[in-house]
Parts: sequence; C-alpha cells; structure tokens
Amino acid sequence: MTAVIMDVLDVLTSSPLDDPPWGLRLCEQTSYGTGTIYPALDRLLKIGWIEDRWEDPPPADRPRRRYYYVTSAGRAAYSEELADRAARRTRWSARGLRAGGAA
Amino acid sequence: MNADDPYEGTAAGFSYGWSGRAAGSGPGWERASAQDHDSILFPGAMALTPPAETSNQTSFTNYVPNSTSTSFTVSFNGPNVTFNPPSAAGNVTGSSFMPTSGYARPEPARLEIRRFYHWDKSATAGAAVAPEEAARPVAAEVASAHETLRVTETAAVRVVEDESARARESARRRLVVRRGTISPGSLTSVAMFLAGRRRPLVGVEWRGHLLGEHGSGLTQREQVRAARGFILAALQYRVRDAADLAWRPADAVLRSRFLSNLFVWGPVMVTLIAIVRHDGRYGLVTDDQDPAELGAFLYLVIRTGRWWRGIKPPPPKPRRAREADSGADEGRPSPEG
Repeated sequence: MTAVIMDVLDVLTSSPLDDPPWGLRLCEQTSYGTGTIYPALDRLLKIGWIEDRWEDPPPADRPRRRYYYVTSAGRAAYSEELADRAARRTRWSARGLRAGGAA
Repeated sequence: MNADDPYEGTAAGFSYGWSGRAAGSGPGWERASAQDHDSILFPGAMALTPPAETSNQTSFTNYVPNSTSTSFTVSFNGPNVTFNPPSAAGNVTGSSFMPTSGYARPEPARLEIRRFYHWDKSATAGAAVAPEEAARPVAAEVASAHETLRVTETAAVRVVEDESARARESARRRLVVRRGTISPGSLTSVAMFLAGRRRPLVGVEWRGHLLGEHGSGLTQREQVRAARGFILAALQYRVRDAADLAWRPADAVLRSRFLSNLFVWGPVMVTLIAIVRHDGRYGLVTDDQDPAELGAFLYLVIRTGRWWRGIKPPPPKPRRAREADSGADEGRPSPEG
C-alpha cells in the first residue's frame, strides 16, 4: 500500500459522515496535487475500498461535488496496514535496540 | 535703434562701409541704425569720402560738396543713396567733404561698402556674421536645405520603420503569450477528453474543484496547477485502462480455478504425453524431472500473478453434498478442490 493510499484512507476514515471529504479537500488535507489524488481515488474505487456519492440535491450556483466514503473493506484494510506498520516499526526498533546494546 | 538687431545700432553697416573714409568719424555713428530712408548724424569734424563705386550710382543728386553742415542725411532707397546736407551751420567745413566722382581709390574693403550701398539686409546680415557665409550661393543653400531635408526624411523613415518593427514584435509577443496561456477551463476540457467516455462525470467533479471550497474559486495560478493535475490524472486513467485491458486475459486465468489448473496442468500433460510417445513409459522414469519443474514453475507464475494483481480465487466448489452441508453449518471455508 502506497503512502498516497494510506494518506487518503487516513483522511477518509477520520472524516465525519455528515461532512465527507471531496476532491479539493482531500488535496488540501493530504498536500498532494490533483494529478496524484484523483488517480488514487479511482484506484480505491475500483478495488472497492471507498465509495462515492454525488451531492444531493445539486446546488444551483456550482457543479455537484463528489463525496467519498470509506467502505468496511477499506477500513479493514487500512487497519490491517496500520497494524502491519506498527509491527514492522516495533520489530525494527527492537533490532535497533538490540544492535545498540550489543555494541 | 534696435539694439537686438546686430546690423543696426552703432553703425553696424556703416562702420563697414565708411570707417575707412570718414576721417575722424569718432566712435561711431549716431542713428546709423535707421538705415532705410533715415538719416545719419556725423558728430564732430570729419572728412567724408564716399567710395568711388558710388560714382556709378545715380543717387547722389542732392549731394552738395563743401557743405558747412555738421550733419547731413543719408537716405537709402534700395540700391540708391541720397545725401541730404542740412542747412544748419556747424564747425565742420564743407572742404572736409570730398566729391564722390573721381576721388579716392577703392580700398580693399570696397566690396563691403558696395554691400552697404546696395542695402540688402540679408546681405549685410551675412557680412556681419561671416562674409563667406553670406557669399554662399543660393544653389548651395538650396542644396544644403535639400540635404537637410533628405537627412530629416531618412531619419523620419527610419524612426517610422523602427516603430513599425517594434509594434510588429510587440504584437508577435502578445500573440505568443496569448497562445502560451491556456485557461484552466480549456485545460480541464482537454483532461475530460483524455479521460474518455468511461468517466463522463469527472468533468463535473473537476469543474467543481476549480470553483473552490466555498464557490469563490481558486486563484488563477492554483486553477492552472489543478488543471494540469487533471490532465495528468486523465493520462493515468488511460494508461491504467490500457493496462487493465492487457491484463484482462491473465486476470481471467488468475480468477478462475479451472483456467489456472489448465494453465498449470495443460503444458505438464502435453509434456508427459510427448515423453511417452517418444520414449515410452520408460521415458517417464528417466525424464521425470522436466514435467515436474515445468509444473512447479507454472504454479509459481499463477501464485505470483494473483499476488501481483491482488486476485483471490473463488472458493472451490464442494465435491460432495455432505461436505457442503457440513461446511455451511460450521461456517468453515470449503476445502480447495
């Protein structure tokens, strides 16, 4: 799982359901450009980790927004990836401590 | 007396013409500035010797030699000069005046005197400033004026040409800038075209993105940057679609257990049949390594492909109804077939 995917999932999982993020807000909160965020969203949509909903009712003064929500599968994958990362970090930290103690 | 006129006052013209022959003329001539049809006063005693050239003039009609007047009038009327001695007596005797004709050899400055008698203001002006300047022929003046005009015209034409070239260059630069500057809306339209028909709503999403969080819109620079990102995203969409199209047969094999088994066992069985046909059953014993290695390699390809593509094969169908029932009851996954 790439860092972009992780950052997008992090924003999506931490966003409230009544104020879901959309493209511009995801770009602002992850500090990635549109050329990075939208392909990542497309990929996540394809594998089913997120889903999209169009703004309803559509406003009269601007185009509709496309809100993104994380699915249960996406949330599980994100949690699993976080656990894996924590385990790896712990493992590497323990190796570092052991190496430092041996030295 | 006009002091501003360098050819008037202090006998400018007369001093040239008469200074050599008006003996004891003193510091100058009063009222000598009144040159045209005016009078000249000769202060003090003096001897006036008109130049010889004046003998050729017919204007000395009223000149009276041996006049006792201290002052007399010299009238100028174009090339004609008239001396009008006043009637008032003075200390200067008339003998101090000499008749015009036949007297006094011409002095070297005779031409200047002639210039004075033939009063021409421009000629006198030329003599006062620079005699050689005044002596320049009219043709030279005209030629000089023409040359000046030609130079002026050339310079003007050059200025106009420079201005035109500068204007053309400026217009060309403006055109280049106009061509080089594409609006974010145009870039977004290009991105929508690149995204293709499979994503018809990305245009709506992207145009809403350009309008900003509160509908007030991003800055021009941010819009251009976002629109460039849209193009990049659309290109990635296309590349991914093409890759998905290319992976479609492989994905079909990876998703299907039957096709995966066929992919592994098919070549192995063909190899075994070929060995039996070629070497007989004994060949299976002697060449048994090759089909096994081939099968292991193909199985590894399938597993790697599934991992790479993120494909999980469907659970195998239960072989027996009893196993299916027990599997469903216990909630355990069915054993792979």
